[in-house]
Amino acid sequence: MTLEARRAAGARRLLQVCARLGAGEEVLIVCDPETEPLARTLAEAAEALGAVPVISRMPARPIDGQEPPATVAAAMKAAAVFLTPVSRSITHTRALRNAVERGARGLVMTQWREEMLAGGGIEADFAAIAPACRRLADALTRGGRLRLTTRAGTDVRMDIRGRRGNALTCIVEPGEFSPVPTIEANVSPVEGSAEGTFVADVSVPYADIGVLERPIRVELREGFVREIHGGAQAERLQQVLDSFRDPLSFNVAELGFGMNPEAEVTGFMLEDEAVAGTAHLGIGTSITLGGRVKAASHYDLLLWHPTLTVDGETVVRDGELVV
Amino acid sequence: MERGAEIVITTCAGVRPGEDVVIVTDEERLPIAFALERAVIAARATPTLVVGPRRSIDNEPPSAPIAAAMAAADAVIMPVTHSLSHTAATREAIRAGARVVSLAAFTERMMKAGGLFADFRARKPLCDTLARRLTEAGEVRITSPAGTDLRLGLRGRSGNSHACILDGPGFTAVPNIEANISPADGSAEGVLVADGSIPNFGIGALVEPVVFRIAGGFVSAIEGGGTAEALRELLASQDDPWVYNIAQFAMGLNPECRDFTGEMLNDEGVDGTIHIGIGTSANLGGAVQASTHFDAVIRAPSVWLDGEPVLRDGEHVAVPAGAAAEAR
Repeated sequence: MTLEARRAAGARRLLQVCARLGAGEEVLIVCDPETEPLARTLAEAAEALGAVPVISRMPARPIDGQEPPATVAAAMKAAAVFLTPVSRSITHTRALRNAVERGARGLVMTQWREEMLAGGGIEADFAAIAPACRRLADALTRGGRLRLTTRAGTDVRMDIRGRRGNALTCIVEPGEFSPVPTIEANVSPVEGSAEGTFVADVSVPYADIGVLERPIRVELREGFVREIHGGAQAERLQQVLDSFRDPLSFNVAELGFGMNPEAEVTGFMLEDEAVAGTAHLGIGTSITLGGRVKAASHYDLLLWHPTLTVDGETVVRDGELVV
Repeated sequence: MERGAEIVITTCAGVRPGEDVVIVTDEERLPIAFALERAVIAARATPTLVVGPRRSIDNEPPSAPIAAAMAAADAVIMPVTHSLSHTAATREAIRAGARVVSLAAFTERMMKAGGLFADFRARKPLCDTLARRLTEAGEVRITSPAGTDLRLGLRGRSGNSHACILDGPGFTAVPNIEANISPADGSAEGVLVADGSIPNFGIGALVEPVVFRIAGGFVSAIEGGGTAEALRELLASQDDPWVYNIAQFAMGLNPECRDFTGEMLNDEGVDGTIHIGIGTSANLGGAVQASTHFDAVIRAPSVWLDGEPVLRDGEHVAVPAGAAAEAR
């Protein structure tokens, strides 16, 4: 297959398998100038499936997590399906939450590149992995206290009582959204409960930080990131988070587990967070995950081979699901 | 196209810093949309480009996400292949407070020369005056050298001044400065001979006239050559009796729209012409929402409001004091 044909096949797969797009449905594709070519590829694939694509191109947002213009928010709310191939994340926004609450099905495609349509995480057998993803999410829903450890020195504890585990299977029902190809299970901990040390040794796929050259060690106390240590990339992370002038940008918002066996670490957000055998700590906004915090941003830090225990029972061992 | 885009954004739409501006477009009009987007950024406002599939006919409703984006905007600019002016989406956006500018079937030529470069501010008093006279009048009679002789009742209806300048929520197409009104339902009687342009459905400037027989407010017959036949078939295929509704009487007032080119908003704006809109009237003060709306433009018309001459063979006459200077 030519590259172009592989891209078209990937786009069709996303729309058919993940968004379950039907003929005649209205699908909104939110993009910015940088991601417009990708939006067009998706629109062509949607049209080929007999759906009605609308591309909404907004100016690139300066930072991740910022609300899109009101006009884009309104269009998202009115669409049966929305896709967000954008340069800066609009995942953790009211616009997205409102659209989903109205019953839309959403695929989050932050930082996507056209080559991601041609291969990698997109090639996963989403339907086959979904049950394992739901098992992990269920374990998080039932759980009260969790502990995350790694050989690299991570030891984090969180209270997740009353919080739902989210299964992002990349296959969406009405009222659901999923980043693609990020097959992941995650939970938003009770505010103020996260304590310990998190050693990121994979990537921080935001703010041009990317794949880590040296680990970044963050100290968590009372639900907030209190210290960030490491090399130049750690400094960069500290600077960017400080620049928001919003203490809630340091809120521990999420613990997530990547479950896509086809995804590889590239420094691109959604491909990285998908990688099976990684876990990520989300900081900042948590409202789209079941938490209560709306911050200026949402960033993730990734590590390899986590071990997760929930209420003393091992659920993930060295990155492998054991339930 | 930069100068034309700036006129549309700042003069016509009155875009102010910090506003949310939606540019509704389709693949064919993207170069124009991009020029408008740059003008919005230059005005320090936020543009969102909304690219939908081409509609199949003028004034077919846009898809729901587009309508929603329009209703959430401060200003809506519509460089689209098929007009969205006479749709519920436009009406709802205005109701929600938007200033809506139609650039339907706009061409790059129109961005660079012609009607867009008229002095809209200077022409606005004349347009406002004529709209007011339409509001006050009980009947309009239109004749033309080609054989038009048509009467429309205007009682209970208000004239609209679409002067290509929006100071608040409302609608204008650009650059067709026009004063218009939707006649009382069922009142139109006579014959309309379109000999200028039917700038819809790919018809354009007319080489052979199209004759519309009109009775009880509806087109009862369309006569002429191949153009008339094609139009008859297209309207019949809509399977909607309201597409024959006499929806609008309008006077074109743009001195820079000098001749019929087949470009919709140029042709409707040609100074000293009138056009009759057929189909949807709901966005002009009428009650009809049909599946389309199209226009038929008449050359060199004579127009009387309650017997008072307003146009004689395409020349403005007896324009009340104040606007007289603008009319010439």
